[in-house]
Amino acid sequence: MNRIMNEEMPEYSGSRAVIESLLQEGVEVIFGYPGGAIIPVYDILYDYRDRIHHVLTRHEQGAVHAAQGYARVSSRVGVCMVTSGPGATNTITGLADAMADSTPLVLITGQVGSTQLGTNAFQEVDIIAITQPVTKWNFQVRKASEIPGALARAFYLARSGRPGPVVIDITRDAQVGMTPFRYEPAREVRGYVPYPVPDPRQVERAVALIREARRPMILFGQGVTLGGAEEEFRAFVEKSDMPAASTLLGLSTLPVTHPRYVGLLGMHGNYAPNIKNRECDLLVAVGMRFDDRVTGNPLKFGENARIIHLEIDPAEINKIIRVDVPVLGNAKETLPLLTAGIEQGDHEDWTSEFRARAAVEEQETIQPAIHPGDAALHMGEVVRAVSEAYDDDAVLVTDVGQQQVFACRYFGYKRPRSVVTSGGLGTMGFGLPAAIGACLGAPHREICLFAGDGGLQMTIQELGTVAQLNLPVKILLMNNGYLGMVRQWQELFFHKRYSFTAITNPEFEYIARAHGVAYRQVTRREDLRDAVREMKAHPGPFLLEVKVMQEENVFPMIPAGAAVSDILVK
Amino acid sequence: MNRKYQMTVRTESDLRSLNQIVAVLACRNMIIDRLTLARAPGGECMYTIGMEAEEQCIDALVGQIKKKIGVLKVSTRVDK
Repeated sequence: MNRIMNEEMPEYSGSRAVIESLLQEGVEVIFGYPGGAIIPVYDILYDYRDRIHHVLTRHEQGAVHAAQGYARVSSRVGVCMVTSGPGATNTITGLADAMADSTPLVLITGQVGSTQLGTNAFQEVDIIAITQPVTKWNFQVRKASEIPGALARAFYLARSGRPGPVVIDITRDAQVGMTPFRYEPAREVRGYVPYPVPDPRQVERAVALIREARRPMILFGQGVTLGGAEEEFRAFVEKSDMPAASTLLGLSTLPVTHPRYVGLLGMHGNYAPNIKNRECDLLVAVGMRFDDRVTGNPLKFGENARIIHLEIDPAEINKIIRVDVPVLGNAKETLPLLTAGIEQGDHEDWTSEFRARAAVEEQETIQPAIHPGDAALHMGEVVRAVSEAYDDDAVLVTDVGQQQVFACRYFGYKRPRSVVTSGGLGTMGFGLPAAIGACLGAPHREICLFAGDGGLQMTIQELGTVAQLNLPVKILLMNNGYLGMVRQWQELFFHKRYSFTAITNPEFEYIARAHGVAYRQVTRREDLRDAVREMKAHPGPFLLEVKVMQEENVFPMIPAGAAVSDILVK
Repeated sequence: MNRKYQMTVRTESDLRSLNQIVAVLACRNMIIDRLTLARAPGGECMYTIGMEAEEQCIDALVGQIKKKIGVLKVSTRVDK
């Protein structure tokens, strides 16, 4: 029973303080899985079930990936809640994935009573120690009175600066203890500088370099979207008139039809931006961290270019590539400063050189991928067929592997936040739960998930979640009977020694139908578009299994350790 | 080329920061010669770490430690 202490500070149980704190932060959806150590919070959540939608996943890893998908499409903090012990340890992969991709998450874990800590109690693990390397911050609450402050700090840290995952571990006695409740959102944390103030001298130096450049290229990443700077970025691109290439997580920041968008960078990216890298005299990196998938051999990356790096995280400056002008700050602030300082550029001739290279890729790689001459279905043509059916305007969610690369290369994008994929960690199994979260985070968008037979089976239990909520997730299963990306590397670099990459699959039809999910299988090209139409028209979830060519390779490709300009088109 | 450095890290008063600092150093195989802790009157902790590191690594180390929540200040000097 709650007693009102005074009008401003009601007395709540710690569990009620958790839920009320989440409401104060505007939380509408929680992805979770209950258990013994978090039952008190779930008991209170039951009273709030009309105000907070709880999504019961089928595994705690699914809960975290779903929260990631939700956060990626909505720009909100993803929230998940699990129990102690194995419930908490099952979230590690998801936390590591969110940390690698700077996704704002708050994970609440139950914990044994504070007097039991350190006794190897039932379902006790030191989740604070375990998650330290894979979280932006974590904290163990042992008293009910600490709950509002801890959650306020958690949300502030998760969403501010360079976003990331935060874990709040709450002991059982803190959940059931009583506390006067007042919620104050956090506005600062001592020693934490989420938004460095741009240095005007660095801006001036950057403007000067841009003015002098004859062969510049913009490299943009997820930092633009994380900063909410899509409009500012577009203005910068259009005023500078520089060709602009995207990292994997930067995809859809610019529409694919933008005249200055020249493609995807990196290992399986487009030919033009990679091969032209060596010729550039200026690289302007915006909200990207020079990941090794993008740079190839870092000693040869941009070897003839001066480099400007617009970045919010000081630790990323000069971490992998030494830059000439770092411009620290939120892209939303720094981009307008650069745009204001530069004159209208004209790089049409330079950009046309990219188009010439793109024409080579179109002939050697893209056309064979999307219009293959043989009887077997290829992944590229499936992706194009689906994208065209959705007028290039669906949200693309992918798992990890060859289908991820084909999908990211051949799906079309018209607006930001249209791609949800696992970048830095490359987590197989990410796709299906992330698609669940994307569905809930962007209910007005259509969600298309591409997954391979290996990755789908890692979290296939989440079909139960899809079915329980009747979410209209459209799942394209690219079934080739292999762990395709690993097989490709074994073919190209290990003399075709296919060591444990052939996978015997179940009848996916029976699994889909067992969950009440509509299903169709396609084995012939002439059936593809009709099947896609059927899938699109179906109001609920749909699993479209496409039997694709077994030993297809994804190109272009930059071999490991090679320079990006050594990219192979076939 | 390896040089000897003294790194000073000021943190809020809990050992979790020490855990984070050590994790950053350990994953880069840093050789730590000495480690001392001093408590300031306000409850803050001051860690002094003697280590060997390559010159080009030290800035990266400082950056990684500085961004940890709870770390207030990081400074380094060549240890004579």
